[in-house]
Amino acid sequence: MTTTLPRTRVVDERSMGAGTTVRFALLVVLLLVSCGYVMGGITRAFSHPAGFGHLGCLLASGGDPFHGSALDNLLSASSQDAAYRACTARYEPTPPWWVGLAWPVLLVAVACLLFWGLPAWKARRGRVVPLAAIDHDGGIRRLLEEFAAVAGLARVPRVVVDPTAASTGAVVFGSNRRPTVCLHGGLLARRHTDPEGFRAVLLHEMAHIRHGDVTVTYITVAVWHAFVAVVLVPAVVYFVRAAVRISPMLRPAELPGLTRGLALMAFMVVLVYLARADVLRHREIYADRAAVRWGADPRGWAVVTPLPPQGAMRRALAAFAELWRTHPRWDLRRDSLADSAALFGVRALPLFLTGVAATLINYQAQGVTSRWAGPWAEQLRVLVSAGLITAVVGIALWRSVAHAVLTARRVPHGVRAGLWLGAGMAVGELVVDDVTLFRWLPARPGVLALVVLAGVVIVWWATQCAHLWVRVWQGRTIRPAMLLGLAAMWLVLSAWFTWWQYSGTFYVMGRPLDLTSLYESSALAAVPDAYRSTPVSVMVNLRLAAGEPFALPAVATLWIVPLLAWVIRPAAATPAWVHGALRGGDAGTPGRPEDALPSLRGVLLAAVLGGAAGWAALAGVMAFLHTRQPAPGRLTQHYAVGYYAWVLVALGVAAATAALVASARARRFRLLAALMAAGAATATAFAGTFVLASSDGCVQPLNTLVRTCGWRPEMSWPVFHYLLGPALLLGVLVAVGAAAAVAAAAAVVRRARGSSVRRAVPARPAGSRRPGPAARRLWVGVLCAAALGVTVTAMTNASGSKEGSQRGTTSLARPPAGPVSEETRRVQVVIWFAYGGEELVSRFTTASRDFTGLLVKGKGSIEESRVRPYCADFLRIARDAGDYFRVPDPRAQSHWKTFITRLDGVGRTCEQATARSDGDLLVSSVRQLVGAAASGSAATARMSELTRGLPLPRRSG
Amino acid sequence: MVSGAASSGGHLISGGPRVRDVVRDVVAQVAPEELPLVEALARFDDASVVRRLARRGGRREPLGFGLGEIAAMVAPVVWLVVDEAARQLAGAVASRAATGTRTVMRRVLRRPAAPVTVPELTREQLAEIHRRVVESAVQRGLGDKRATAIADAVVTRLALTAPGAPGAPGAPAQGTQEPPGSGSTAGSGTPAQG
Repeated sequence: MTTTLPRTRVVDERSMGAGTTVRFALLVVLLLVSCGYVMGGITRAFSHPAGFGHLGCLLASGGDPFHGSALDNLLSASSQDAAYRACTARYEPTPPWWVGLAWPVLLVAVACLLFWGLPAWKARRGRVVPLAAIDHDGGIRRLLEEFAAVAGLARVPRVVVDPTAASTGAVVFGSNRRPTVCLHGGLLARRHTDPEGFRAVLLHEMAHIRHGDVTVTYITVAVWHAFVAVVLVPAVVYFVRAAVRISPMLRPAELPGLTRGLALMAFMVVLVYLARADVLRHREIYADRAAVRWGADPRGWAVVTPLPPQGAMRRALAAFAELWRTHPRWDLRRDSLADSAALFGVRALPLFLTGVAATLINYQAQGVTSRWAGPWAEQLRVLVSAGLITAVVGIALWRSVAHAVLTARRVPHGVRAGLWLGAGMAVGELVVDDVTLFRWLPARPGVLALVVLAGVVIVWWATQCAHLWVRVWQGRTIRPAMLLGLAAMWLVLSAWFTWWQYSGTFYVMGRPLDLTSLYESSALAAVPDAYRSTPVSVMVNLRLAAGEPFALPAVATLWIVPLLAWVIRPAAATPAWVHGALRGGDAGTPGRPEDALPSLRGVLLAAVLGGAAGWAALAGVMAFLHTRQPAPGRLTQHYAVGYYAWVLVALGVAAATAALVASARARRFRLLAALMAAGAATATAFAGTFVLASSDGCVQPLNTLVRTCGWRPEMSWPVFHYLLGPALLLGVLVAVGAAAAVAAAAAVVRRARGSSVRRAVPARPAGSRRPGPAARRLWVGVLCAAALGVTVTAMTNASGSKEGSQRGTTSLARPPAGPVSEETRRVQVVIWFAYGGEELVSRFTTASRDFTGLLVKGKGSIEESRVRPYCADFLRIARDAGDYFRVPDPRAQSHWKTFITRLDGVGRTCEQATARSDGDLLVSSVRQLVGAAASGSAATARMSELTRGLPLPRRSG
Repeated sequence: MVSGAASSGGHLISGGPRVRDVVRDVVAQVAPEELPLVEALARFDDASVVRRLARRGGRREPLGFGLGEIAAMVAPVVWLVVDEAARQLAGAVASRAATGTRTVMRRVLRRPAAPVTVPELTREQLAEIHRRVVESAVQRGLGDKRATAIADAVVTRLALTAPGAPGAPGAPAQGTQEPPGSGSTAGSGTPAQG
């Protein structure tokens, strides 16, 4: 039987990883990545020889950073990809690859110097004295040896005294290998009158050394100080200088980016200080508890503190000030000596900061990894950043869940924690240029809600997964189960990061859900009507998402990992890890009885029901489509594509039905039940609907594509194969929605009934679930095999669509048509002229003048060898003009296009004339040259007219 | 104001007792448990000691025990008051700005500064020091009685160098002669009151 444990139970904080070292690592990685990104950008800005900064090529290409969305600008640049590349290579060159790495390397070098130099500075002769200088009788030394032995230290650390510090404390610095404890004067003065306080302080410091806090803390301090010197100060100076010297013409487009640059620096200061202080507060409680375990008297923590502030405002201010302190409040420290609960909570601030760090690392590191060939670098980046975030958030979640279960408290659902994580990730997007580029806000800021939602769902899932595994786990330690859960969360988070970066951000930038409008506006392709319906649009988007790396493995993970928990044989006695975590206390089966696992049979039944519903839905769809079936031989694309989309809808119905039934039955672990049932139902429905579709024509009212009965798997397989990935993804989305809806409805009902009449759930320990262990394992095995089977099958062709979608983006026929203001047009033309137009015109002017001069001087007789270079020159100018950007003004472009065509004609005619020694043809080429010059003049005249008042270099064509 | 004292490099090099000796003697009398600290402080030059003792409040350092209690200690009170009095009485304050460069140079060259010494004091000056010690000690959390005891000890020790005092400069403050303004002389009053 499950027993309710007393709430006074104290969990040993060492029974699972603290997760604080990885939080320090996250900070260091964030600082290094930010260093490379910010200083790399500044270095690049300084290397721009022209005066239009990083906007020049974009404007010359017809982009509109002033009003256009980020997506419009990306399309504008990519629509003239070759010209854009040539322009950036000339005017906005990317520094060599090593420059991007040089800054972080410099940062590390400075940090190393500080790390090694700080202890020497803190322990310098003019600041402290060695203990031996005042400890003549060796009494203090003997005490320290005793404390070091109690703490299990291999040797007594170096001890110095700061006689001018009046506080009754001490501090440790240096490194784990060579720590130095500095005793404050006040502590020494009190040694005889308060020996217990002296012992408490020293044991606390020994605990810091024993826990290995010294190196990580001072590495973080050193890296931060190095960041301030190498990045923060130079970057702020640069941003302020750039903002002051900004060209009025470009101000509207430059100002948001510069402001964000400054905001990013301010954000980094806040983030690093808050995150570091939060981790340090955690480590202090660890050290306090260790000191007490080693014999320190808790009265050593009886520090007189001021009364808590009165009034909401003062309390809020005090709470805010508390966030910046490296030590917790004394009352919290005293409470934590008896109860470790403070070390197991999931708090909002660290989650928010971790969310921000996730976005900052992911986006800023992209600048480095995207320059390395191959997608592996990109995937490695995603894996590393997702791994860090998982380690920080996942460990906190698992600790919180395990503590709640061990102390029979209510396990947090994780939604609030997810909201903070998601909010952090979304806010992070607003301080980098990822989705905003040249604007204050992205084109569709509302889409950032998706990021918050993702945070909620991932944390909700991870929390339930942790809860499930903590309930069933029977090993000696909880770590293996935790590692499994963290690995699963890592994969899911990696999938999210990948999708967000390669697809999600484009939706925020303005990409429509209906991709047809994007394709058509960019003249990529004419899209048939068949692709305009909502189901087809959903299908196409899901297909793109399923093609992302990690997407389908993550989908499978979402339901395989919880499913595996049913493999574990129910516990007959208290699990070993519970004994360990409670240090042999009053152990029992952990958890509250009402949090019992849902029955696997219920999930399976829901899956079968869902599969049947999907099968029935497809039958219904086929019956409906049968009424519109085209005549034999006249099957339209519209009809066929619509049919594919409706098959996907039928599979979605299967998942939705199963998820609703399973989550409604489950009461606890609703999300996991919904995911497992939806996954199994999708696989079942997939098999059922495939059979139905393959035998199309055999049931006359359901005839859809064919009219004659036959078994045609080869006909339906390509369709089903194509749909498998989207269907699995849809199943997950639908399951999450269903579980959320059911959970919300259940909460409303519960509130309406009142907590007093909450229905008691019969306590059913894991051992009493109906199917025996063997049957359960068999079912789990079958379901896992099915999950793996469909995932592998779907992945065998999912990559094809990804390649296709990437190919499509580089061949846009024309930039997206959008209204451009007169002012922007003028700036575009000015820069177009400055970045290459003027040079082309000048080359043409010089060549024509010399060519006509040659003809005049020749007086009817010219050697071909003297003419031929001009012919080649005209052809070269025409080719270069064709390779350069289109003129951003349509009227000027029209003249310019004629100019290029005519000039090309001049070159060819000229070449023919020299080849044939044909004077008439040469004269003809001169006539063509006059025509080309007229077009060129018309183009430049139009540009001059447009740019009147702006500093356009004027040269006649 | 005070005869027999001269200023050199901002530090007084007259034949009076050194501030650090006064502090040591007073601490040995009223707070012997702080003697190791005084010994440690004596390894620094006076300017460093005064500058750092004058800092109020604790520092929040990572991996410290936390901003706990500030110990109410005798040595900082005595050192700061006596040092300040010695400097003021010798008129060294006026030349402090000029000595900044010398101080820096001395630090660069790692030359120890000469210790500050206390010039001979009049009864009024001793009374003023007594008042300051009491005030400072109370401010730093020492009780009234303790503050008065410390002030008495300081004045007693300084009085040994007063004109006509039998003790030689630097002699321990164990003399039997009652200093001006001491509790026994002034009854219930303090020098400031007397």
